[in-house]
Amino acid sequence: MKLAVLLLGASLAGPVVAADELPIDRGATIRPAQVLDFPDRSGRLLGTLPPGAPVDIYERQRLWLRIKPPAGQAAPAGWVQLTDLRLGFTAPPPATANAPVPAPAPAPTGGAFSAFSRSVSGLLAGFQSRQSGYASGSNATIGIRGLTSGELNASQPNYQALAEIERYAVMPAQAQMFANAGGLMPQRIMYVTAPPMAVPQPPIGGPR
Amino acid sequence: MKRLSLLLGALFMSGAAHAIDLGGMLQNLDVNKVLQTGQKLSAATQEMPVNEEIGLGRDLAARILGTVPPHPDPAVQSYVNQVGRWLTLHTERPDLPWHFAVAGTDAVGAFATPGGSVIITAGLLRLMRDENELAGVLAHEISHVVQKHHVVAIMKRARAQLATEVAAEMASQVVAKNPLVTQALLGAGMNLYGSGLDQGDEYAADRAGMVIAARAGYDPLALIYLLTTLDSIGAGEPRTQLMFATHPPTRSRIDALGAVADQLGAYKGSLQNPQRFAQIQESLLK
Repeated sequence: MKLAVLLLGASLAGPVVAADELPIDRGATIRPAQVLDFPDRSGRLLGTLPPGAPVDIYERQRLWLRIKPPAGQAAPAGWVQLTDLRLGFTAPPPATANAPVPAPAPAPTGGAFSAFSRSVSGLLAGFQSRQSGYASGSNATIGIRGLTSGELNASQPNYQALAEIERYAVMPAQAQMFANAGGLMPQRIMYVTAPPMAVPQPPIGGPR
Repeated sequence: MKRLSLLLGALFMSGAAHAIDLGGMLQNLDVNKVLQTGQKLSAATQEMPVNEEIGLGRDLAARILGTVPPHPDPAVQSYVNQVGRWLTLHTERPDLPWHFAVAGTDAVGAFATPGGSVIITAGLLRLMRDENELAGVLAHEISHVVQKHHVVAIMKRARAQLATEVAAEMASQVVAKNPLVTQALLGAGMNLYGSGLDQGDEYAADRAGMVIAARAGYDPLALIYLLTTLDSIGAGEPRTQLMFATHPPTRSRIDALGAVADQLGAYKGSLQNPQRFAQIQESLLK
């Protein structure tokens, strides 16, 4: 039955990923993710990806992503919901999932990836160290310095830095020119209220 | 007791500019003057006047910058100020002395201080895909300022910290002129940046930030995309520990914003100039 669904998806409908199309991003599922033939809940179900499945991403439509599993994976290409994914690179599944940790995919080459992708998979996080980090524990991130509440509490004020920063403040007219140069068109939009289910309670025993 | 509290409250008001020496000050007390001042104080507003909000925010921003100094690239600082100032023009507090700073650290985080100072880290800026995501983060921080989340939380904490009737009264009065109360507010403020606002304030800033970004012409969904990136990094790294410790669970924020996104309809923003963000990010990666 599963095979039938897969074959149906592959042969009939469904978004086509051209062989030479380059991904714009990559990610991994964080829970079972339904793959549809259309970026809407009304789309037809092509198959379901297990938690932790790596995916390449080719297109965004609102909160839907057109994905394809990496070569060799017997899973359908199609549209999945952003909320079923982690983005940026192929991450291990959440600790609650029992699926095996997938090996991080190699960083893609080619012009379709932005500086963001390079920064995530390369320079900032250190993709090589991240790969070894997943294999060998947390040692790979020791070189990346964090910021702690203790440091903030013990901090001495730096008014020289503040004055330096305040010099960069811009006037509304300058900001307007900047917006015009970026094609930014103001909209009239009312504030939204929280949907009843939109503010989940923090987990018991979680931070704060 | 009430009288004593007024009296001491007024004392703090007229106290020496620096050290607090209660014994010394009591010796030179003009009781009638103190009582008059105390009555005025009782009638004063419970809200922090905007000039004092700005002063407190500058002091807190100076302390944050004392921990994470500004990134040295003027182009980066100017760019973030342009995006941020444009966003503020679509809020209810466009006239604050808004300014924005990029802190030169790999740590991932963003801070807003009362009165309109916003600081984001280079580590966070590097993780963004485009200007829409930058606008999403800045609009979230701007929302904290517009809704006075930190001012309210700091006043509340300072009252608890001072823990006496006198000081409680002072903390709700004209605060900036009083060194003891100022110290309490600053201490409560820095403590707040280490422990985080109430989760409800964070969800509120997420929602309002999406709307402010959309008003300014940005894609309101970009914040959700950035959050999925942050979720990929997780809390196991030093650079993200503080941010995750001071915010609601990232997945809960993503799910909450996904529900809000439906209310915003199909608006995708109108940004036409992706190059300018890419250039800034390239200069950060050098």
